[in-house]
Amino acid sequence: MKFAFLLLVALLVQAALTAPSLPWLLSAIHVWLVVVVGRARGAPAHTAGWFGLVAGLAADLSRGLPVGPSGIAGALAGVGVARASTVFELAGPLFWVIGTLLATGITEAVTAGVYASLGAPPPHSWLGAAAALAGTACLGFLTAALEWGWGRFFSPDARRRRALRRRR
Amino acid sequence: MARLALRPDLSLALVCLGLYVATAAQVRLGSGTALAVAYQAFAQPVAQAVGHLTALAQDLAVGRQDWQKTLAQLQQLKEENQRLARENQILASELLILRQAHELLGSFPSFQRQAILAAVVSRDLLGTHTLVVNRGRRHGVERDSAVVATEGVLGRVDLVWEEAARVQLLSHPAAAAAARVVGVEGEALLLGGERPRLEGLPPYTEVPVKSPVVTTGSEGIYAPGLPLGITGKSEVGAMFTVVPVTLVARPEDAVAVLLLPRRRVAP
Repeated sequence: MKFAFLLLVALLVQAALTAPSLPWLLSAIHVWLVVVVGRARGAPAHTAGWFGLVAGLAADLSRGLPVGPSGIAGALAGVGVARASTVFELAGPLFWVIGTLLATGITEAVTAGVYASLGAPPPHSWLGAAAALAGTACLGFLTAALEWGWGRFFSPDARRRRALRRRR
Repeated sequence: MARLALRPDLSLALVCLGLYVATAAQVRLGSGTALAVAYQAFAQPVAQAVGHLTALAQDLAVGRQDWQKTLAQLQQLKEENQRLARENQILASELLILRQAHELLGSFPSFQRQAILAAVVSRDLLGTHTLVVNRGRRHGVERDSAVVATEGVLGRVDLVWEEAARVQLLSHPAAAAAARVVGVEGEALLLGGERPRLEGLPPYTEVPVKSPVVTTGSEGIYAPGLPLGITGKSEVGAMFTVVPVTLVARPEDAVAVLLLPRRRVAP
């Protein structure tokens, strides 16, 4: 439920990033993929895959594209990130940065493959793919930094440390 | 009844395959879904709101820049105003000097060729009873040159530097000048100080009040006939008549003075 809400927020942010007053590079960021990456942490691969599929379908819908390619890509990205995090024991900031990079790479490759196999023009060229890769990775890095900051000040450990300091 | 149970990963793959087929159908048909249209209608206001927010932020940034520019201009105008006020003060002071110098030269036309016109640089009327003028040795000023203002004698030069000279005023306790009262016989000595007075007149000399006192030039400093002051009520002493004198020259108002060359008196 939490991730469904986050997905909704991500889609709204995705829509907001297309505002003409914002830098054009921001509209290439796949915000929904960051939620998929977050869902893939510690979850079974098929769970992350299903979530990725739903998120990808919603992303396709929100961008007015044929519904399906991003769903397939999201499912594969979810499975890929979940497997990679288990195999390589990714955690902390590294999980976010590598996870978003991996998820974006898989998504862009799969989407391009689907469109190419159907003989349809892809929604964007390699420049758009590169922008999406860079932008989403940056967002992953930002998420990692926020998570670190949040844990630094609001985690139970941090609260315990503050309480001990007060007692002294 | 047979129960169809699929592994979650296999079912995911099957759904993906179905999506692929659905995508192919959509690509062939080339029409958008109703859901996409509905979502676009929902997402459009969000993008517009972000656009408004960004425009507001830009307006604020531009307004702040304008505000800073306006403050900088205000500061610049203040500085320019101060500079102009200073220049105005200097010009007004120079104008005053020029006017007084013009009046001075008009008052003493006979000295126009030989006198040196000088501006008062500083004055100490209570402590040392002196003025400093901006003409010195380089301009031909000598010690004991007479210094006159428009109304009359101010004093004499007692110290000369290269570019300036100091004037000892008649109000100085050590100042003195040979003088006479117009309409009265005999020469007297005008002694300076806070209360200048004429001494050396013969006993029982009647000196009318408010008579002009002028220089005689016998001491070799002042040219004869220069106005010194006006007499007050005389006091007859045991041997001499002492007459208080009100000096006519006002050193507090003098901004331009004439330095007259020292008179050489033959021994």
